[in-house]
Amino acid sequence: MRLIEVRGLGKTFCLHLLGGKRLRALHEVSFDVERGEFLGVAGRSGSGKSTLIKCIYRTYKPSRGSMLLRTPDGAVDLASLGDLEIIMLRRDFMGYVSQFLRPLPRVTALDMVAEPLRERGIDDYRARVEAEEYLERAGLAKSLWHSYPTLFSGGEQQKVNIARGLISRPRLLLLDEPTAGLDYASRERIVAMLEEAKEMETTIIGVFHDREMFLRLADRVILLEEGELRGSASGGEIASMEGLRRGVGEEHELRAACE
Amino acid sequence: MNSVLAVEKLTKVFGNGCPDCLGGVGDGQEGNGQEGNTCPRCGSVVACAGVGFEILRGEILGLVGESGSGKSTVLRCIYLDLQPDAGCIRFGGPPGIVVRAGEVVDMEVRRELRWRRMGMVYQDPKAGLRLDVTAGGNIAERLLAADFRHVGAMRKRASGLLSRTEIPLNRLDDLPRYFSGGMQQRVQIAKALANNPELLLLDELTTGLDVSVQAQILDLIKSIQRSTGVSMLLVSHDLRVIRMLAHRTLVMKNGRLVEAGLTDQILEDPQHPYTQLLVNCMA
Ligand SMILES: Nc1ncnc2c1ncn2[C@@H]1O[C@H](COP(=O)(O)OP(=O)(O)OP(=O)(O)O)[C@@H](O)[C@H]1O
Ligand SMILES: [Mg+2]
Ligand SMILES: [Zn+2]
Repeated sequence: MRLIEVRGLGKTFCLHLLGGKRLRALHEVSFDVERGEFLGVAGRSGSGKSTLIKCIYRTYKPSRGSMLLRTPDGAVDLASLGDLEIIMLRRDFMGYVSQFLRPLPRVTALDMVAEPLRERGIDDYRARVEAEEYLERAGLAKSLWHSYPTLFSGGEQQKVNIARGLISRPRLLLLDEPTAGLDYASRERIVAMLEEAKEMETTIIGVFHDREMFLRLADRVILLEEGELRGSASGGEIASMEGLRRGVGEEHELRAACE
Repeated sequence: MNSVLAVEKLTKVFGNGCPDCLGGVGDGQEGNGQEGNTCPRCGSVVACAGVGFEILRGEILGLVGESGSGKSTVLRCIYLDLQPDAGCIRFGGPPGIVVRAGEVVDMEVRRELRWRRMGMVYQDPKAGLRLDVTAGGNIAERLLAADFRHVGAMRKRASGLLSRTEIPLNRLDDLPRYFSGGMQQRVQIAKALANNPELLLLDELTTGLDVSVQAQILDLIKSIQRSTGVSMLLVSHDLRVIRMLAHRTLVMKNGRLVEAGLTDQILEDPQHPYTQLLVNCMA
């Protein structure tokens, strides 16, 4: 069963401060995502990966095309859906984890993670208990749970970010390099959490910068180049995918070739 | 969906006005009228023109724009401090209670709206507080208006509100005149919350406070929203405040609404030239 059908998606930024300069970030992008599928999005820096994720979450306003989403309540076009409906979808259906946490002043790690549950009307006590569980699983030291993420290291912030993104168990999860900058052990914890989300039939669209993540997690990978869709591979073909080798895995491959 | 407030085509002109007022004042788009909000022909000020939006139950709606763009005017029309020249305001419903420009608002309806359904925190504490009436007295005034009659119950509610807004209880009988700016804002908030309103109108609530006090007040607002589910219309020219609190955001310029959207979209993908400028100035 298909969950999302993206058709002819385009995004052009118009920079009025630079005399109306136009920047084409996405052009005629079309693909489908099956329910429960883990779709990887690959491409070089500046190829439009984050723009794609942000268009789906509607942090960016798509300029062209449609993004049909089939929810239990019927099909909607994410590209043209009203702001209020998007707010409800974000609360009940879709989650987003970016590369960086946006810590709020005077809000503790525990409260940041409990927030999405509270927004759903879950009572404070239960929200906190679940938040503790998710922080534990993300591997944030207990001593930090009641302090402010504004003071945390990048890696510690990212653990809060992941816990916050996963706690509401969204049916559609959007990831934008959630493991960038994490050490090996931290990354393994996140991978385990994502694998578990996958087992619960969560549909995931994820941008990563290292090839290994695609190989371990993705059912299918699409490749973006200069805002256009340039390729797609699934299962065993992912390993030999053109752009993956050339782009993201570059350094790794080079080193292997030299040895 | 559950609507708390719907504003339609709200227009307010200060001055005598002339047929050219609305056409003469533009929204800052190239070739669309002149800059500024003063009518080139008669000199009247177009404080807001054709403004429309809706607030849902439990929602925090941000309203941003530079000084003089008309934000406070919109708020004061909603709170019935000002009479709009055109447009209408619907509270609750539909059908709800509808207030139309040019129609006299019945005293009973006015009371219901101002003293029960809404709470207002003014930009200037002097406008929202009686500085020479004790903090407790300021709150009691509102409780009385909502038919609280029992003195003991009133005092109890007042002290509950003060502790909710983190004002030391021993200040209950002191005069707000001698309070710090942050403390005055807290008393205003306590007063505005006194009758469990369904809509809070907040005008530049942290302007002029130092940064750590600002953070505390914002924190307070967030926790109030969480525990009471009250809807809020939050006016600010500070995008950081909007980012922290608002689900959706409206952008005003020269009395017009130039953009409306999800707060993260307004901040990360602003469409209107003016919004781009505003966001750019913050970064
Ligand atoms: N009572 C009044 N008489 C005449 N002009 C007024 C009156 N109240 C407001 N204005 C004018 O209407 C315009 C909009 O003012 P308003 O107070 O709504 O702006 P604002 O967006 O709240 O600004 P700020 O950010 O400075 O608080 C301004 O040009 C102002 O001078
Ligand atoms: Mg103002
Ligand atoms: Zn005029």
